[in-house]
Amino acid sequence: MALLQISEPGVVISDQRRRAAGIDLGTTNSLVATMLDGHVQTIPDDQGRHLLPSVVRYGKECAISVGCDRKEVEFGDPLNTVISVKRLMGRGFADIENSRNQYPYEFAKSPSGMPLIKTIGGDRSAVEVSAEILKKLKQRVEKTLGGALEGVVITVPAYFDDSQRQATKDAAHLAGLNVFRLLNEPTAAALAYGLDKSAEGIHAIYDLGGGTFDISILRFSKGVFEVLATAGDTALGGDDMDRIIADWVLAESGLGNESDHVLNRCVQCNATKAKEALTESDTYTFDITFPDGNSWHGVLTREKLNTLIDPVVRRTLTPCQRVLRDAGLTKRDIKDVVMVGGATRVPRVQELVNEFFERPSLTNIDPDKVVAVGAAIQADILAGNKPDNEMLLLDVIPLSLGIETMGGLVEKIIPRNTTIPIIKTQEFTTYKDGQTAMSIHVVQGERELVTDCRSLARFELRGIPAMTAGAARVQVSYQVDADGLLSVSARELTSGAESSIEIKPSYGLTDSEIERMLRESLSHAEEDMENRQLREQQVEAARLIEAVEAALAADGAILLNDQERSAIESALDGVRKSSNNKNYRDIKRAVDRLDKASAELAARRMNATIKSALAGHKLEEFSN
Amino acid sequence: MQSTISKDYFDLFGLPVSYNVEIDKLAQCYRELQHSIHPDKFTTSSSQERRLSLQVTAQVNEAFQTLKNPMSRAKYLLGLRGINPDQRDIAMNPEFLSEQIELRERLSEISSGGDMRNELLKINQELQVRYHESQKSFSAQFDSGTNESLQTAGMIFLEMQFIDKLLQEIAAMETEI
Repeated sequence: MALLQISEPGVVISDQRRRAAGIDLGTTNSLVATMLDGHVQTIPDDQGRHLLPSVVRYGKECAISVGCDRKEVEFGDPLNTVISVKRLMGRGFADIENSRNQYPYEFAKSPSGMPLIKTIGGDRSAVEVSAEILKKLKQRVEKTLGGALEGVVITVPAYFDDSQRQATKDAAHLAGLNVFRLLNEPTAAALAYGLDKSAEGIHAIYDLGGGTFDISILRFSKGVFEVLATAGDTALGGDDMDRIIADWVLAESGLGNESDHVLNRCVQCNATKAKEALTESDTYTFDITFPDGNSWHGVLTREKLNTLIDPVVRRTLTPCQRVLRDAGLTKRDIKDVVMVGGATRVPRVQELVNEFFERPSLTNIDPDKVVAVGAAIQADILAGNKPDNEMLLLDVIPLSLGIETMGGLVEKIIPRNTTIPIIKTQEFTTYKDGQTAMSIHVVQGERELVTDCRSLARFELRGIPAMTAGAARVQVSYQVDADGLLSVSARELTSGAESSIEIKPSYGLTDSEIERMLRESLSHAEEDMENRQLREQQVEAARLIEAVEAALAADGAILLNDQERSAIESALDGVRKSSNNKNYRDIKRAVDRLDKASAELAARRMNATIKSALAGHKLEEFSN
Repeated sequence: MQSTISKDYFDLFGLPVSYNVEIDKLAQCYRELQHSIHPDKFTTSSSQERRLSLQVTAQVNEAFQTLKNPMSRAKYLLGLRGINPDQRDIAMNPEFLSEQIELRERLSEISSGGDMRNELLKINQELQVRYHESQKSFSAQFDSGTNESLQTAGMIFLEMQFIDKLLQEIAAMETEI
């Protein structure tokens, strides 16, 4: 009998690569990239197009088409054709009320205060629209790779706040994607760029996309990409230039009528064309036939364009100044400035950035693809396809996280540009005698007044024992994970009593809303949900079994006494038996038991890892 | 709560408890630790390992930030010896205080005209010199370790805090020019 071949644990054989991809979910266009034949490549559609326009059109009878081309957007049905949905991610109804005329849609309000776009296919949240784009990219890459993705890295603007990040993750969840990591766009670009050039030193990444702006300062040193500081504006981009040009066209042509959605969309598309044409030529001639039959001819020169968009471009320079200060650097410390994002093709942008940093910026990489490529590199590493890779990304949180204190003031708990992940705790106390509950309001932003910051969540800590004012000790803990996502917990220390916490996100979907959308999107809802949860638990069980077995084999003899060891082995047995079970709740119970039983072993091993990492370091120093 | 992974932040990086830290060496240690503990190394691991990695990395990040920054490092050292300089039981040197008032006046005069850039540069340089002197004496007082010298170190820390704040204000003014 032929012997079956079994690989060494932890070693990935080349034809068993884990399928992973990087996704750039952009305001204007989206892309997916993956490792193919040893190279990172962006994946085109059947017709060879790499960029998927971030456009979702809703039709009758649940028809949804993703990625309409520009012509369709220009002459199509604006109310049911959603563009630039990224600008609505993580935004509340009140946010869009102020800038209503920027959006050519009708909005409804969800029960939790989220804006919903009214379409012929129903009221849709930004998360659902984004999920459609992600599903399309998922299909594309899974077809190319010939199987289901194990996980993805999705990029977000570095300056995205917590709600915007959470919304992106929710969209991925809805699209059936496992998110390895949310990666900041400039960091992704730096990764693609830096690995390419193996460039040691300090770099600035200037990323101006369709609707967002980021500036990040990174240091590359011995395979570690360390973000020193980041700044930006999540509502600033090429779209704003288009709108200014469109306003100019409306004014020049005398056709201005803000309430006409069809006309507006048509003018906006022509404005985009003009902006793009003027990156190459000095003049652009408009020749527009409006949907109502009127027409207009007119000339826009590059000089005039520069004057029009100058305020938009200059708005990017304030964050540039701030990011240098936050990083404790001067312009002279920057080795080079890398331009990313479609809007950096605009000559005026390059001129002003070069002037600011007092050197020519690097424009030799494809600003549209570099982010997706960087994400794919990271996805491949996170999937475990490169066990020997020394590359590591250390990113930061873009905006300070704080808590509301008396008088509507903000006490900062985690300052901006802190390296993540991070956990910080702070103690607070009661204001009144006999106070038994405390309302905790989590905010994000740099300003001192709560009203000037972004509200992330509110929750109540109940069950504080009645004491005199100032006697209770409430410990609030902020935890930011490697995706830049925050979770908050609070407990009262003197009583030691665990208190109930209810989190209500200020913006964003509640878990039950997500679940409802998920059910709606699956054909055999009930069964699929059960299956999905069962699969997730089975994967978790398999991972835990593998991890605990490996831990026992490697260190069980040194780190555990007999009693500890047998407790773990019995729990391990429980998980092994339960994993054939069809009920995910049973598996979960067994997994939780093993998790608890083996927690101490895992912690001791982590300590040993730290010791040996440092020991290796000292030996190396010794030999030098 | 999570277990602590070391006695103190210095122990974590295998460094002696002292104000004088070789930042390059600290940064190198930090990076090497990150290579073995960062959540990116545990993406496909069990949720237990991912949770642990997050907690440990958060502690290492906090430790690194605290030791890297000269102000937070000084404050942390004092804390290890049971001194909290924020509690107002440490007396400030009156000479130092009047000197600070004088410097503040000079700064406010600058902002109302004259050759701002040069004046700022001058004050900046003076303050930098003072800052380095303070750091040196803080280090010496801390290392000698007697009760009395630790109290002095606490007072020097407060002086450093004043100077640091002024330096930050100057940096902000410089970027505004």
